[in-house]
Amino acid sequence: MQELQKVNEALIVVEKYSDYLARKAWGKTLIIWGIIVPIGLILYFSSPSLSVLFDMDKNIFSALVSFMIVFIGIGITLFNFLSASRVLKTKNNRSVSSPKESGTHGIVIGFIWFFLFLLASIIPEPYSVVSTIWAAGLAIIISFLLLKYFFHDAFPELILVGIILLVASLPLLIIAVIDGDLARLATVVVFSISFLAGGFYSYTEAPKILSRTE
Amino acid sequence: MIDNNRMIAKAAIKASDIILKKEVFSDQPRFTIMFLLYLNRKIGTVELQRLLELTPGNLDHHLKTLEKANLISIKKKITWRPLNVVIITTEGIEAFRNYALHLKELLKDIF
Repeated sequence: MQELQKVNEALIVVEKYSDYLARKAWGKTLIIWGIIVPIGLILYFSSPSLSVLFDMDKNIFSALVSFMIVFIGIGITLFNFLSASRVLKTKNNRSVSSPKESGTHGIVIGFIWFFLFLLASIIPEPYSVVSTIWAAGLAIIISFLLLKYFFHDAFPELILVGIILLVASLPLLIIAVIDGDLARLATVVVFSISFLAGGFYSYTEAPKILSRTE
Repeated sequence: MIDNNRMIAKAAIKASDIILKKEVFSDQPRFTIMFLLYLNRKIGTVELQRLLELTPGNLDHHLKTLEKANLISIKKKITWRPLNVVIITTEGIEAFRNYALHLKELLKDIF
């Protein structure tokens, strides 16, 4: 019986540690996206002048920039979650996501993101910039709700990012009507601030999990 | 005959090794540290201290016991702050796996 108690106590600690790693992985991922997305958008918006500098076609340059940003972002995201997943896989049934369920999360969430951004892409100027904020904000909030209510994983940093994006989209909408270039710049800043805020929130919350009492 | 003696000697060493490792793992914090390391291969001492709610001295004692048994190694890592990282050794992985199997057998008898 003493051995059973020992294993049980160890499992409680392992679960706390796995929650800690998951929060840190989210934090890192949001911070990385908060850095690379604005860089990518700045490069994308400056593609007419930068493509001349590199002696490249403007469309090829912007496609290359988009591809590189998505490739780097997804690469780092996968690395973060795979590094944390060794322990995540061992969580007990109360909050565990089996590898099969994790795959389903990824597919469902990926489809929602794709669908919302596809919708955003058909919205005409001058609202196209704001529509990307709506798409991102909605996709993040829907991802949070799906993870919380269907897959029983709660990551409040996502709701923070989503709310910042959606709230900021209202003044952005007004700016977009007045000045398109300023709206683009403001979009970059809003993206960056919301993702960095979510990431740092996650990072500061994660150590608290280690001292959590069960 | 020589082969038989060798086998007996090997079995005796293995048995004494298991007893020694069982003593090391019998303690709750040490068992938990090894469990975490078995799953994640490495962990920072700051995280360990908070997870196990131990004082620095107490954690150091448990880590030294595990290090002496050659189950872990401690490395200094330079990041934005100095950090000690505990890493499980190959021997540690093997020993914990054997101990987990032994526990599994024990628990099987209970249920």
